[in-house]
Amino acid sequence: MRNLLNVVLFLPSVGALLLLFLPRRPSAIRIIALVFSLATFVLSLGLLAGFQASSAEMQFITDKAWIQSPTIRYYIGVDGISLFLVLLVTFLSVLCVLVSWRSVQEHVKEFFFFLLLLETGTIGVFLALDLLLFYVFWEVTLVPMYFLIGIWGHERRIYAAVKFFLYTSIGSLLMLVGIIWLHNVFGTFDYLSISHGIAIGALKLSYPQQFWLFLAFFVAFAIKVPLFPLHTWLPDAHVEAPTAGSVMLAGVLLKMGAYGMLRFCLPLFPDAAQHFAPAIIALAIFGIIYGALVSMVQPDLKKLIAYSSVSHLGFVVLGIFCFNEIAIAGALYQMINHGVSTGMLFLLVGMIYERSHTREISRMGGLATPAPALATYFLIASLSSIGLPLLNNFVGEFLILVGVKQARLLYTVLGATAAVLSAIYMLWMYQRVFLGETADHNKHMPDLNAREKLILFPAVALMVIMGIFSPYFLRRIDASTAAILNKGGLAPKQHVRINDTPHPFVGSPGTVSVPWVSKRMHSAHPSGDSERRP
Amino acid sequence: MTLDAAGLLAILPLLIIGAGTMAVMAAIAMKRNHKAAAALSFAAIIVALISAWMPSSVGTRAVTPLLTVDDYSRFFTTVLLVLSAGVILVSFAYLDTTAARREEYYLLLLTGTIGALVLPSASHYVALFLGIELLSIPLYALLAYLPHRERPLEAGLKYLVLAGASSAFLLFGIALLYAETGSMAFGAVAAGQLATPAMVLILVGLGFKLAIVPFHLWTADVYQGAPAPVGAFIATVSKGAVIAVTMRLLFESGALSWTAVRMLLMIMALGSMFAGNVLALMQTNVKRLLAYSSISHLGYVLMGIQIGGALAVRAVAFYVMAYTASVLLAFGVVSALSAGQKEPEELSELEGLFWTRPWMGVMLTLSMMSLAGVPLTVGFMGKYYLLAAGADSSAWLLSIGLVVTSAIGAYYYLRVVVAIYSSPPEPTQAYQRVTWPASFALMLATAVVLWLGVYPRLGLHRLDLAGSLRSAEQRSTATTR
Repeated sequence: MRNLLNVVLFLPSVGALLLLFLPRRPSAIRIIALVFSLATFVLSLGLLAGFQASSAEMQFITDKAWIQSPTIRYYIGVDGISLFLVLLVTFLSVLCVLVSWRSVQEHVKEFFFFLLLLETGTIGVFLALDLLLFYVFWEVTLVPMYFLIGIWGHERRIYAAVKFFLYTSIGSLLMLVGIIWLHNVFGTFDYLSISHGIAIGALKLSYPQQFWLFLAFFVAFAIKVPLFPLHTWLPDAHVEAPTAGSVMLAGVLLKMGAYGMLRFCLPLFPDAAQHFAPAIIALAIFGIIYGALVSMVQPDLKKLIAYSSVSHLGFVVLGIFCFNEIAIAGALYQMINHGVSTGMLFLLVGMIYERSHTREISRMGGLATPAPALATYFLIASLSSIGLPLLNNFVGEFLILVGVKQARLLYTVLGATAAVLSAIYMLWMYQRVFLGETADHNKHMPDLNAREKLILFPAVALMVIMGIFSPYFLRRIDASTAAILNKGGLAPKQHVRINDTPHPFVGSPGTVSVPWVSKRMHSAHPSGDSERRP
Repeated sequence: MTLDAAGLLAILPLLIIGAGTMAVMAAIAMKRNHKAAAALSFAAIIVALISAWMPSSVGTRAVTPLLTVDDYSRFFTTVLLVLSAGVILVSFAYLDTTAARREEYYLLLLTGTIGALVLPSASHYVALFLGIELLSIPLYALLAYLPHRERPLEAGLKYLVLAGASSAFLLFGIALLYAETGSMAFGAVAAGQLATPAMVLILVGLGFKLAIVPFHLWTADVYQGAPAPVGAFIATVSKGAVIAVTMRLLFESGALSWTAVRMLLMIMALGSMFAGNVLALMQTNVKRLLAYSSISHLGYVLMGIQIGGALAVRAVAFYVMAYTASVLLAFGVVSALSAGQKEPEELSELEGLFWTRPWMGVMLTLSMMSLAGVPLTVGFMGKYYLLAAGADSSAWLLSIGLVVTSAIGAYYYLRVVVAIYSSPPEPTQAYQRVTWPASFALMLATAVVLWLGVYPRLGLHRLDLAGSLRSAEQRSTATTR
């Protein structure tokens, strides 16, 4: 149990190394890759079982010296913020192995090697508690992703892979300078002791220091998210990547940016975060609308979903930078939702591409007739992405909007347009792809086979579970998001605001995990804390 | 100061390589045998390596006024010897298929190595000049070692002219300094009007050798023209030795605190970082690309020297090790794959390398990743230590320069990686079969690149590198008083 987290982190890379020594028999390699990713997923469920829901502390901590002079430690742990992101990685990795079963026929060994390596890298990003260790994992994810796009991608894969690598590595080098600067100021890379020191006032950064450090970290994260003017690498990378690459990219790699903002920008540089918040919110809202509008006119199915990611992630950034507990919990929830829904959409697009060898929407149409199951799954994923109640995205979007409203009504109004716009572009796309006349060349398109259904069913199940049983997830997220705000000293001001607003749906602060219906009843109680920590 | 037994023991590596050179010469005179010549040279280097770390070799010892043997020189001696050994291993298979007369190559290589070994322990301008000439003169011949090829001859001639010019600058600078202080020791304190111009002239001379901006114009042609193993020798042993002596010279003479010298170093460092990386962007020839990349990496090294201080000295020492290991790997792969007259140096010739020769492809990829500074390779740790040193002394301009140019640099290293993993052309390239000495050297370099990248505990902190330099400075100031 003590080493569970280490096992989850390194099991995929053990599998990757094992693959190197296997003979080039594709079937054996696929099975080994599946076994390792599945085992990682099952073990990561063990994390969920052993996780103390009410605690905001890091759990499953491992802390070992790694490099001396200057001290860099192998220091990992999981809390409510990272727990579900780790689960998301392990879950999507299994689906990625399965979806690549037939679609990857060339260089099978190397493909699964990089896929498993990517899994370790991304899990590491979410677990690292040493700043330099975080940077190392952050950069290490780049290399396998670069190869996944560059070798197994579509026509313009090399352009896309290089663009992806350069954009992200420029951002992360800035972050490296920031990390070294922080080390220079505080003499440690230990995230927990720095953030704790800042929270209790023992450590202090002057405002100019905060200003530059915030920028150095934020640009790296904003490129990854991607926030509006820095998003241009995303459509290329998504369109050219193989299906598994797109799924990991949309499902996990984009979350690394939002996770970084939440984990580092807010608690470490609270003053600068507050100073920059209006500008960031403006960019986020612009990105929400811009992404949605650009999606609407895309002739390419994959590009459409890629731009919808820009819109959705803008929503997440909006939620984070309103410094409101409800909005942040919603943003985190939305990160996971987006991973599941958009991940599934990319899986489906990949399946369509395998059948018709095109991503052009105009060459599709009426696909529901030959492939009704495919159409049904696609419809569910689209509705989830739109934010239909009872599906997962609804909960996240709703929480963000409720939380953002505490900051400013205008933000909510502008942000809510995303819900309308997403309905327009997703449903219009659905109509053009699946309804109407079936073109001749699509008349005999085969429907989903058993393996594909096996891939899609868990994702759909998860959407429904996350849509209905959201308290189960939010209860585990809650304490940590509250702690993040408290650490930065960003919380109290917001609390006052919440209490000022006599709104039936918004009860006492810090009770995001209690669904709003019951919250209305609870709001009669004077103390919100008693609910959160029974 | 007389030369006693302890002093001889301290410079044993030098003597052993010297004896080894003689032995190789004698062996060639008796009977030409490529294997024997290579094995003898390799053995000499290994014995010298062991002798550098005998139990008696601790502390600081001045051996005649010319040489000082201390932790600093021992560290660089070790690095340079290992690199020479690597170059010999890589050269063996290469020469087997290309050159008609192969044995003299090792003579030249060993002589160059003697020159390189003199430099890290030089504490006197005479030793500096002797070392540099001893290193350069064999290189003229080595560069043009394959006389039936056009490019190597051109490269040899270019290097001859430029090295001659740079020696002239160096000598002029030394002469001015001597006129000022009346001493040829590094530690002689120069405070007069001639001191700054003299030091600038010396730096110009050394700058030519290091190929830093604005003295970098020769480097691409020479790298491209050089036979791949000789290119490896220039890029690793020659550069490493000159860096070692430059750093000691600047520290011990106290020139590092002169405003003009600091300014000059800063401009040269920034210029090299930017020019090297920008010029490399459009190269399609791997050897030219490595030449331009070496300019930028020397800019990073110069940044470390300019920063000064204990942390920076250690960072520079580490960086030299990191850079030379990575670049030896790159040149090693190119020369290991060279078949007969043809070196696979154009990017188009490396296309699909991974799919035809997976291990070579992986090694070249690692080398490029390390040069680009991707974490978990030694190149990243090198850059990290430099940045840490930069942050420690608030050298933000240089640090930002390093970061920005590293980002530019990633692009062209990626181009090589792209070529390695693109689908192989039809018909596939005919590469040489890799022999075991070369693969041994390559595996060693790979191990260094990975091991030091993942777990950089070298015991470097136990070596008092900066202490060696500072104590010499203090000693010299003490004696002049």
